[in-house]
Amino acid sequence: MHERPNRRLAVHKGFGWGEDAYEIKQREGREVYDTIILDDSLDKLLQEQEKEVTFSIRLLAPENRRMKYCFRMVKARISKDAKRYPDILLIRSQRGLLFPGNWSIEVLEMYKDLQWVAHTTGVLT
Amino acid sequence: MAFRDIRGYIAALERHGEAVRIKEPVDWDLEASAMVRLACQLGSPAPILENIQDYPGWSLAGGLFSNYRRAAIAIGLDPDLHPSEILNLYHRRSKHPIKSIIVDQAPCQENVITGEDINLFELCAPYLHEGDGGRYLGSWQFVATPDYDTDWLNWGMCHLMVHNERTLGGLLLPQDDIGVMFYGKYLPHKKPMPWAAVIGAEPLTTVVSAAPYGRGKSEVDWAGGLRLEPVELVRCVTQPLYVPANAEIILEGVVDPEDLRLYEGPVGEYTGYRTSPRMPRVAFRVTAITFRDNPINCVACLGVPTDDADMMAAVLTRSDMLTMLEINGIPVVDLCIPPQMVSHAAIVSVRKPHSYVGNRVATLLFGTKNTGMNLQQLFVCDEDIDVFDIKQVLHAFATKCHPKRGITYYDNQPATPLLPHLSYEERLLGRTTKVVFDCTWPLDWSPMRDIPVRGNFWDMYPERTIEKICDRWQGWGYPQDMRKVWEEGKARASWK
Amino acid sequence: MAYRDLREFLDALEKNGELIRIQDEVDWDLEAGAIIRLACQLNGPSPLMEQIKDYPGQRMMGGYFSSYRKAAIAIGIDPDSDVPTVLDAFHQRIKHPIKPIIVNRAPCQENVITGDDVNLFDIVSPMPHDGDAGRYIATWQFIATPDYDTDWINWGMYRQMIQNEKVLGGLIIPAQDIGYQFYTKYLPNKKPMPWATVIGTEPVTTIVSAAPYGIGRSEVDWAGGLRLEPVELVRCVSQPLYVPANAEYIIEGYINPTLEDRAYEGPWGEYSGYRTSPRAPRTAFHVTAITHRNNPIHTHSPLGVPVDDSHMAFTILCRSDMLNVLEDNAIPVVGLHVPPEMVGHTVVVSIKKPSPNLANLIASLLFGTKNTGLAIRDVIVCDEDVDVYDLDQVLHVLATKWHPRRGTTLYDNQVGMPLIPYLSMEERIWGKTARMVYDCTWPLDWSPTRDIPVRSSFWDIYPERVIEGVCQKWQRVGYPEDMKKIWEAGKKLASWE
Repeated sequence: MHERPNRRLAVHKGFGWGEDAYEIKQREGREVYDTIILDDSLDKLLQEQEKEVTFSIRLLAPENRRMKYCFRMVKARISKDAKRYPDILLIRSQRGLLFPGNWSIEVLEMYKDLQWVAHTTGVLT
Repeated sequence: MAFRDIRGYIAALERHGEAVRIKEPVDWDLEASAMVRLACQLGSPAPILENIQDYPGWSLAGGLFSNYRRAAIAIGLDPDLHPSEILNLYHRRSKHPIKSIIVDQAPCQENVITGEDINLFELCAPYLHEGDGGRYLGSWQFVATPDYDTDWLNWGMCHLMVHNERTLGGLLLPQDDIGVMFYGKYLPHKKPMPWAAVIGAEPLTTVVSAAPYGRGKSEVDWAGGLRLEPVELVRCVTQPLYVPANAEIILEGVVDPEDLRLYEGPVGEYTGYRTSPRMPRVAFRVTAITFRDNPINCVACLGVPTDDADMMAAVLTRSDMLTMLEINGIPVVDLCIPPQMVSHAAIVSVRKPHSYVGNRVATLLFGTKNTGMNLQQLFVCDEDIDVFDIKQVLHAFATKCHPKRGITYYDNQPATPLLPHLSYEERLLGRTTKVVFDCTWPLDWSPMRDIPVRGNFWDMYPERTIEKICDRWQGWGYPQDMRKVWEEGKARASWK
Repeated sequence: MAYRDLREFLDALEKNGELIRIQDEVDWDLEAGAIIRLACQLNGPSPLMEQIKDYPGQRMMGGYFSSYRKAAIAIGIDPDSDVPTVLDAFHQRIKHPIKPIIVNRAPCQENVITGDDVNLFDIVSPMPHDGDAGRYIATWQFIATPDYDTDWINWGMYRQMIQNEKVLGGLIIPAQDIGYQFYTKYLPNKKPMPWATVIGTEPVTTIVSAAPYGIGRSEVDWAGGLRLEPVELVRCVSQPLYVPANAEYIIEGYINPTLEDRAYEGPWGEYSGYRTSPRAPRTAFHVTAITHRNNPIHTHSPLGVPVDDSHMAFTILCRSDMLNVLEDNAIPVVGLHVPPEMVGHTVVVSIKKPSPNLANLIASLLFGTKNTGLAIRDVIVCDEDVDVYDLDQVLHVLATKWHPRRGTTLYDNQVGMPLIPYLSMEERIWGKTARMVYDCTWPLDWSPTRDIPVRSSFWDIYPERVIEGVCQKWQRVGYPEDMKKIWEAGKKLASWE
């Protein structure tokens, strides 16, 4: 069979793939993280801006490259304004799509332990 | 005869042109996975990546079981055999399990890391698809778990995501064997469940773990039967559990019933999509890592056909279904799970002895444990269809299946959340609809008046005409040796 | 540029390795048909059989249009063009019909037989399949019929079986153009209907006759458009009618304007891949003249399981007709394929999704059209990211995106044809069938970030920088495919622009 590139699905347009995190780090001189949200929109996250929040992030450009994509629980402040806080935060949906626009983050504390949550019952385990 | 380890298998793949060794540096972050993915989509040889960025000394191998040729090589057969011959041999061997043996010294324990030294990021786990929830250490491997109160050792294939230095996360469904052990025994007794993830065992040992063998049945013995030689096991260094001695990497640990959950996923799955929601799932705490020198991490980068998951269904699930149909006396001629349809469809050809045999096949198969869960569509054909020739099947479907009379819907069937066609609500409830396409001539049609005669070279001409043409075919300048094709297939073509 | 006749086309096939000349004597009784059948089933070169038992000086050939390669050669484009390129070339050309021209002298009339000398058994007609009701003089040809009261000439591909020296039998369905002319005009006016059977032209002149162009529309002009040159016509010797001047054989005659003049005809193996149609009293075609070229070549298509000429003609021409209908109705079609493997019973359409239940709008449009819709059993509708020309991709979406309840719509009590194999005798008699829509698109109310799964294909699930890097590397690390070229050529397709 003659393989050729697929057309892409139009409804996923705008949720582009990520730039290489180390390139961003080098260009901007800032740390780069991302977080995965369960909601369908950014509404809830918008309410969390500029408060002290505790949640999970992934390290996207750690010093030791082997540690890339490691999860850390952090206490942090976040903002939709990409310049407001020192570091960069990318937002992904639970389908793995990247929301357009970088956020910014100030990590107040980074914990060794993970963010544990309660068990949800149902088939979707 | 059997492969001792994955290295022997990779060498055999290379001899048959089914693997390519790549010395050029490749990034574990998407690039290696993208190469495995492309090789699967092109049907190209499996890439064996021997120079991985950030991980000197490590190799990544992917697509090791992604076509019928590789399945044949894994079983030790001629790779050019017709798929049905390969599968039937597998099916026969799977009926004669061989018990494993225990060894003291094992290559998989050449390097042992325990306690504070454990860091999963020192293992070369690839990032599989852009946007996945994390790096997956286990994608073509299995998790071994001992039963709580019997000597049953279960092997099951599942994905394991790396959360941090010492924690993996994975899906533990209550209906899976491992789930029965954990939710039914360890959890109520408040005892940690020991587990060991086995990466890079020889291919048959690995793939049987994905087979639906059922409760209390040990995959280890099946692997032995398929290999025609026992599997060599060694005791884990930190857990009361045995694992294949010649595997590349072993991770040992416990699932602690006291633990809360961790968000895990999503990851691109066997269906060809990233469908599973990100959910709180079980934590696999790691107590030891052991591996061979210069270890080879074996990965499956799942996606659109044809990859290892599609082939495992084509080989293993088929065998399980055949057993089911044989026990129930269904007059099956052949059965195929076309890899193009990611184990969601099965095609069965039958000699039809009674009405609605297709729906009997369907209820049997839809009801079985793992086998039935993925199966969404059953195509039933008459015995004159080669179920392994998808074009013949499509022709039968297009010309013999009546859109009303020929289709039966099975509503309110149990479903996994991974099925892409289900709505969010259906996924929550685990509900789907399955379907049977009956592509056989109705029983009440008269052979003389109603049943059409197929206009096929092999059906529509007398043997003397067929023979005369096949004899001279190559002489006229056509490439095919039709004389041989006819000689070999003559018996099949006759009504005797 | 266009092929003047069948012979020029056969030379082109031979140059491209798509023709085999067979000098051994071949029997017209089953053997010739079986050879063509096998060549089609193996997707091999067309056989040109130069020595036919009992018929010295006459030749037979078939299977000259049974693949995309042969179709590309038929219109003079690169035989290795990919499937959509071949299909779109036909579709574009067919939009610009060219009128025929009339000539006085014609190769097809190098030999003229009329009156008492007419004997159909002097023409090398095959016995196509074992068990067919008779010898079929016409299986891959067309019948030209003039309209009663307009200047429309219809060309249609209708089979004809030999009854005796001077009579052919054939099926005239009222729903087809020839049936419309006969049953609504010649019969009520009690006038004999002239006809001429044209055997052995270059392919496009013949295949347009199998296309559903509709009442009042002339296939001759479409053939000219496809050829990019007008078709040359000549006047028949015994009927008031024009036929292609460079054809191999012409058979001329008339149909009596009565329902009594019938002969039992059929069965014979059909396009569906089965011998399905019942034996029934059908129309008698009376022959008044036979004309042919020197050393004529008879074109034959022993229809059967895919892929043969009839399936390719469907795949190309019905597609074009369907596209026209969908384009006229502003349906956002991305691709449309009638897979030859499914004998025209299944249509696969990919769309950009703008409105609810678009799949059913498409289906009802297609089911309603004249010939096109009659053969279709089901329409499979996909999102734009599916390559409808790749059957494996279509099977994958059918297995993963089609919901058997939500995605299914059954159309009951549809117009059926007696040739459809899955119909019961009762349904065939009443012309009743059912049709299906398989909607394999993501539902409109699914959220892109929560519900719609992301496809895990090399082309979808990696950033462009990774795709590009891998494609660059691919041949260097030892793989044969030139992925760099494939990516360069397809990059635009893959982007969201």
